Amino acid sequence: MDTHEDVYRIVSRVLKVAEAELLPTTRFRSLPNADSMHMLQVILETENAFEIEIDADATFRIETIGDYELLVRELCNEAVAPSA
Amino acid sequence: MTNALEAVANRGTGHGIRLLRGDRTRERLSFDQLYQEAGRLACGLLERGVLPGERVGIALPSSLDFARAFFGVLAAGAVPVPIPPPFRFASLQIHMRRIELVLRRSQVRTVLANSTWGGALGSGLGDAGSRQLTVLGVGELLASMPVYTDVAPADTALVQYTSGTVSDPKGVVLSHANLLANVDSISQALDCSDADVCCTWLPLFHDMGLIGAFLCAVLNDIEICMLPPEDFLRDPGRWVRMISRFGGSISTAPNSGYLQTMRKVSNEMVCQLDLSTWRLALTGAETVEAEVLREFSAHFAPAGFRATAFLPVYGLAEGSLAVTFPPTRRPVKSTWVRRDLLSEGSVAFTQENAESAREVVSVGTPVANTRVRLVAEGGTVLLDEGQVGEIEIRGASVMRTYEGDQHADASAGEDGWVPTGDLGFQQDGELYIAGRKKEMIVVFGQNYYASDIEAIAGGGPSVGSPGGGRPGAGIHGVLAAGLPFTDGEELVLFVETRETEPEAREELVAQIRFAVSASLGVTPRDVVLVPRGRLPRTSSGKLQRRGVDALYRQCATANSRAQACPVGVEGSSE
Repeated sequence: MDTHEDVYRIVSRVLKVAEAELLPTTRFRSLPNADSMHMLQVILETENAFEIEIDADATFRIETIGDYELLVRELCNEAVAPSA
Repeated sequence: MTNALEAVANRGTGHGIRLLRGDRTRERLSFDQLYQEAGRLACGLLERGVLPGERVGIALPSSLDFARAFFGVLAAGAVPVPIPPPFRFASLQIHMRRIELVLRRSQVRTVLANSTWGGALGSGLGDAGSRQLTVLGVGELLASMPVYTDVAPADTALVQYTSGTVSDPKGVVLSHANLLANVDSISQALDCSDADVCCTWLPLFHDMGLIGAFLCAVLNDIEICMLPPEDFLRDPGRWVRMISRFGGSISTAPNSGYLQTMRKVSNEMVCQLDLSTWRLALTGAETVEAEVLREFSAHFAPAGFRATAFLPVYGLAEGSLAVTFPPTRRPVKSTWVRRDLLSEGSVAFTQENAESAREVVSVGTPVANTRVRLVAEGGTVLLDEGQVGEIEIRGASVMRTYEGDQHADASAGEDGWVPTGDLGFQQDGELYIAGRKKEMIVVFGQNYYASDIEAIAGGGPSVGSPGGGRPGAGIHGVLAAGLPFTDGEELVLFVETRETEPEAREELVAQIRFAVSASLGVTPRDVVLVPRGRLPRTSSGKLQRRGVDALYRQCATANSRAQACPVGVEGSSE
């Protein structure tokens, strides 16, 4: 699974924005359709695709797609890391 | 309020609040436990120096802790001030600047929060000034012994921040007597009993969720099934599944809530539901579309939903909440008027299929303890039916002042009548909402002042303007309008600019979207760039909203972001 590709694909599909228009520095709130319902849909689809759980706390602190991808990578790494 | 909760607790029915996450019960709290824990929390607050009448912020999501915090603050003789949550994927810094204004206006020293919101508040307000703010968790405040502080009916019970602009937030100050009167009015209108089951996903920081669902149910000893709003937004089907599973009889949502649910629940899923217990489906907080109600009724009829369950209601924070309700157990009543004349302030009844006909739904008659009148420009009280006037309210539920108002009681006027900013007309003694005098845009049940949106989009002085990449340069005028779409009213921004370079225009649109969305949480449906001088203006040069719907029809396309307004489109300036 390519994290970068899948995160951008989800954002592109849910917010109805061409993937080519999405950059790591793109702020979610600068995109059309980025209302509460669509943003929760982005989270839901990401959680399902990567089998992770995204805390509300994190979503209050993230503004850009690049940061969101980073968060997903971290959560995926935590999920596969052997428990102590 | 605390005495009313005590009376419910003493009834011993065992009713309480069930919190669901997703489709599962996460936690349950009986009203008896709620009363006990509110007293223990009050003790903890008083031990930490909270004083009677002091405003205490509640920054909690829809949860049992919100219920504990709300009644705990009241049991301490203090005043709850619900604080809205930050927006996801937006600037926390901008949100905190807004919250700081609210906290300062209400002189809040203590905020009850969970770890998520508490952490954000602590860091976000860390450099907000010298004023000390203590953020506490509900759990750490529960003392061993409960304490209940006596209050008078006229003492303040709630400060509800749903009015005013971003830079000048207005907290509606409501007394214990106001809230109890409104709960009583709603209970009478709905013929509530402890056999009812209230199912709600409405946010508790909003008056419709807090008073209409939560308080009304608690004080009537009605079992509450509570779903956090974000769980509804993730899957609107959870709402109707909750009603089906727990035998919900009363549930409320804005028009858009019914629309989203209808879209997300397939015919196959409808057949697995039992909505025959749902006797009251209230709809308010935004324009009620009769067609949506008809479609919803037809869609969920196989599950036993009855069209007569729908109850379009009217209310606002200044009246605690409920102002007018129609009679229960009757079909939704509507009338057809000429849309073009209604927008000019007069009512012309017409036939359903007539050109420019608009269907307007009755919101009924004033609830108990409340009076309503319509007032024309200039202050004349309208007595004849079929005339549009501003709705004014008066009664036991109606506020007397805004928070921090130097002229106590002035907000309500000398004779107690409070203007609502909403326009209405009457037919056969029932009220119909015709529009808004106040320049407000309502999206998904939330109110936004057009002036706020315009200030933020234009990059002018506003608390909401983001620090970097804010719009402003190259913008000559901004007009915010709430226009009707299939999903209901949505925000469209018209921006005058001389910018012609495509990339710069794209960037300008992105900046405007971010500024508005991150500051207010509402995402513009469309940002239409037009050449300077194209927006409708009055003779004195002031931008006017009238005429922008026609302009939008001329300008907008599915993707108008990088397109100029067609040459030759002129504003309808007068």
